[in-house]
Amino acid sequence: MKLFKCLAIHLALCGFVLAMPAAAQTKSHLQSVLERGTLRVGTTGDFNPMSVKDTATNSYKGFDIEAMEQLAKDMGVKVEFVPTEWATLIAGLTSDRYDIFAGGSSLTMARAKTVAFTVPYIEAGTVPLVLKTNAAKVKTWADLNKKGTTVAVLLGTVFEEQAKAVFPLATVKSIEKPANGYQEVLAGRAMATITSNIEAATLMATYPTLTTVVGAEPRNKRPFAYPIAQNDPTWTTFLNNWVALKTSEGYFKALEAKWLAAK
Amino acid sequence: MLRSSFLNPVRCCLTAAALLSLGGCASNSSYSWGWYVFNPALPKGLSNIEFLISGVGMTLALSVTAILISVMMGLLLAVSLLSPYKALRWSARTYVECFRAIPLLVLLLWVYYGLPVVSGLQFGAFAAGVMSLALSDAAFEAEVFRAGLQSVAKGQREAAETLGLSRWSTLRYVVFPQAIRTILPALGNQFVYVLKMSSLVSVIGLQEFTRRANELNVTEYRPLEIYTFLVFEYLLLILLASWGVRRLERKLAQSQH
Repeated sequence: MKLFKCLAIHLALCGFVLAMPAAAQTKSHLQSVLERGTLRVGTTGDFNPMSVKDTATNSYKGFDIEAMEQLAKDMGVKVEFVPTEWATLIAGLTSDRYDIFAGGSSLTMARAKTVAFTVPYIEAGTVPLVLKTNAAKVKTWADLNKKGTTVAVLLGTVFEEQAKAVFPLATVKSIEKPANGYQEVLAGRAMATITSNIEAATLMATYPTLTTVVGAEPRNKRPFAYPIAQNDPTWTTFLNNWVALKTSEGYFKALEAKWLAAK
Repeated sequence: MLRSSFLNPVRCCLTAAALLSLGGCASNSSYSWGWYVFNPALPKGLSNIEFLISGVGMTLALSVTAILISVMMGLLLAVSLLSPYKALRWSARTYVECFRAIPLLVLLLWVYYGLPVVSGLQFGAFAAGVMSLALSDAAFEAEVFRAGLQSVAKGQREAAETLGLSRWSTLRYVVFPQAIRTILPALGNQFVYVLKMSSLVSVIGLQEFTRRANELNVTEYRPLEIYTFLVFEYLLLILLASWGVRRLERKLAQSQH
């Protein structure tokens, strides 16, 4: 009997914890950012050159980092970068760890089900990367969609979704960070990896043995947009206006020229 | 004497380094190593080394805080597990079984991302990291302490009782000093475990050894070199820790006579 009583008490306690009301988000993020005087930006620091850690100064840098610094400046607040991971990007927004995510997030329908997005600010496409020694064998996208061909992608990214859709016949190997798709290609365990044209340029500069597939046009062209929490129309509208304004001013074009061109 | 010099942490590390470099040379000759990323003669190499090594503060702060909390929690739990009161015994047992069953990574993600949604409790990354490590480790410590306390012969307890010692005094002056010798090796194991498990906290963004290695990897694109460096960081730290525990064990063994 005592056993059951004890168990019942424990279960009741568990139930109580779970039933406690979630921190009610009645205030708009816009209001709380202005009151706090700090814009909290979630970023992964793992997408060169959108968001990377400058190890010499131990601070973030990149296209989106600069954009967020500008946003904070335009709002008259300070900026604080909150480190996160792709796999927990959405969890960070829903648990209110940051007000906005920035770091090269593409707009996908899967993500849009659980988070809101601002209007897009740039566009990117997906390209395959192979070893130069295999370039003769792989000339088009179709050349990779074969039985026995392995395509390595990073777990939890849009490239994982795309690879599964584009290469139904090939083996799609999802790599968990800190390893990465390109490492599998370099090690000869995968024929190709797919990534955005943005990262491919930096990768090829670092590893001269890697090349993009010449005959393969960038596909899955998609916009980059900033994810924010749902149910906050005030914050969404505010950020949309900011993106629209900055686009008109040519601000994002200038950032593209600085971070993405000729790399 | 020979044994202690053989188990010297620095020597262990050097041996491991020699073995690893041998293996690296022998296996895949087509891979061109890029050790320039850690060349102390280059300014970039030097700053890379500094960046990685400065993770030691966070790794130690996390592990030591978590170990201190979990030892205290574990001790309380072990005493509860052996308590004559059934409610106390059951609460402690439930705790141990539950927290031993939750993988640390899952607990970490839940405390950091789940708790704010469910309860509105918003812990910072460090607090969430320490909490998860301590909560999880305490369940293991509890069993270590329980086994140690139970290993003390029943006669010792009875003798203390006959002498009129209270329950607490018996535990404090008779049982615990004897139990600690049995507990220490297993406790040392747990310390090493926590040091290693602290690497998981990198997922919530704390800049300890592993997070820094991941971050450096993004700009250098030299994962093999960077993670090899990381291996040696942990190896050195953990060998030093276990060397310390062994010294303590020997000291206690001597004081027994």
